[in-house]
Amino acid sequence: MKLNYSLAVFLILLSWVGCLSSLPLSSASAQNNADATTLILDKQVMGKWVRSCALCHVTGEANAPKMGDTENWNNRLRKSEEQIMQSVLYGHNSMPPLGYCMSCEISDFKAMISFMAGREF
Amino acid sequence: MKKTSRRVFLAASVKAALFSAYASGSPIMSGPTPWSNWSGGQTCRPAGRHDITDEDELRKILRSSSGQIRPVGSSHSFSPLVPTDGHLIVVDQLNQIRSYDQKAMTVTLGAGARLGDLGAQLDAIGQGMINLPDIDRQTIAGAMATGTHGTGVTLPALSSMIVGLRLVTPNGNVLNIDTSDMEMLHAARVNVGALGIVTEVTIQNRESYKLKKREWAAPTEDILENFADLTDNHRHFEIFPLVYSDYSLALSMDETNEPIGKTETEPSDDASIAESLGLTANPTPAERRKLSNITASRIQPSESVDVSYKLLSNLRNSRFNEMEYSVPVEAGAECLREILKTIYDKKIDVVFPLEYRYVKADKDWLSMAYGDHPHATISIHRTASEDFAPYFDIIEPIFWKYAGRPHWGKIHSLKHKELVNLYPRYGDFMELRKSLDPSGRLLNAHLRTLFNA
Repeated sequence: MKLNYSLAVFLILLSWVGCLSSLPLSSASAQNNADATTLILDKQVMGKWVRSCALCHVTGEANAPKMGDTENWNNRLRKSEEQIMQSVLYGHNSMPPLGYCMSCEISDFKAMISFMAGREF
Repeated sequence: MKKTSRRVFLAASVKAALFSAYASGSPIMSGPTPWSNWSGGQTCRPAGRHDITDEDELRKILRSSSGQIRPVGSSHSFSPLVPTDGHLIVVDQLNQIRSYDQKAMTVTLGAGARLGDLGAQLDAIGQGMINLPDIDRQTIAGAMATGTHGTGVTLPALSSMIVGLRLVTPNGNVLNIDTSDMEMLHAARVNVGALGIVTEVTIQNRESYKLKKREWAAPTEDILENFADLTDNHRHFEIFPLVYSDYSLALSMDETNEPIGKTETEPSDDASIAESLGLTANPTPAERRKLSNITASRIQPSESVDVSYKLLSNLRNSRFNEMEYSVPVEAGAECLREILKTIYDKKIDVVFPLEYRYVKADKDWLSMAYGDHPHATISIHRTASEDFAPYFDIIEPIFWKYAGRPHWGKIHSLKHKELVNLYPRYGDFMELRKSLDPSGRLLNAHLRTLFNA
């Protein structure tokens, strides 16, 4: 039996990690929701968002919830504010700490989450 | 009275402390916004962040403030280069290409430009970077300052591709350094953020080009025997030696004019493969070796052709911590063998393959490939959620046996006393650092141990 190179590497890693059960689930496909609240970021925070969060949350890279996918965001926002900020500040699954935004303050992250989720956070 | 065991008492004390913290406001939500590096291994709570928009703003900040400052790029360094309780200088907004020269094949850009964002922009003007590291989320200034490198015995670290830079010293003065003063350029490229804040760099590029990547698996000893030929025959050649295995994954890349595309691989029977790997609990090292060898021997070679920047770097979604040292190429294979044997003999529970590659020598004072001869670099990794210290503490002394020099952006435990013997120009760098930052504004706790300050 022949093995694809990448698959083989992946399987070799998995075989010893024993983490099959903790693999991230596929996120729901992004949906445009016409009813979503329109929230606007100020220019400075928008600049930070474009240089960091947008890199993954626009395309859905690495299972990141897409901007405007309100169902996906609503599911995630069921967690407490502190749990969510813990994930943002220290990373969660593939998302790096601070989402690559080294200049962002907690207030910036809150505004960005509201902007992407289409609802107040 | 009912007796309480020590364990119950301690657990109750912890719960009480946690409740107290929660009741008085979440530690996360109060106080300065925390900072963390990519792996999560380094954290701090800086007093503030300066999100500078241009060099003038930076100069004013430096001249009107006091206290510790640290520059921060994309926070990909695993070593504690950034942590500070002072202020961070964020260069994210200095990320634009400012000018380019098609004749000289150079481009001048802001220090905060990320390598991964540059490929397409450079390709659009017919340029390509000469080499790239495995991960491309770093800023150009961070990659340069830490001596970050790619693969290739004829290709030096990224720092060597910097032909000009603007450095704002802690007193707010600007030094414009370029090839007209090579001594200063060699000093200022790999600077670990200890000389000032770099605001702009000029990179020596080349014309845009395509690469053909080939990946395969082979017995490690077979590859090591022919490593010199393989590195001579390919623009890029490196291996990922599998732990608990006699095999390595090999990767070569060469320039090509072939059309963009990749080989189609046969569909695999995932369940059968997983079964053959024997996902049993606590396999012995011998069992792991046997299963890993079976899997590796079935790997089908693959080929792909694409524009250089799309193949040279990879997206790494799984976070990890890393230690990397360079050793003279003559010692590389022996050092690698000793590490693999140590992992096996001590039954170190690690899954990541190692990484073994060559990098061309250069003259940058703090470069891990400083000198007249190429160096072999060896990396070990640990998943970010695991404590890296027990594994790295066992392996690190092996690097020292072979005169290893640490990568500045990766985990190591060396201090000034050892480092001064590994880098011939270390003393010169220390003198320069002191002259540019006499009050030590740029020194955090880690840098103080490096420079005995």
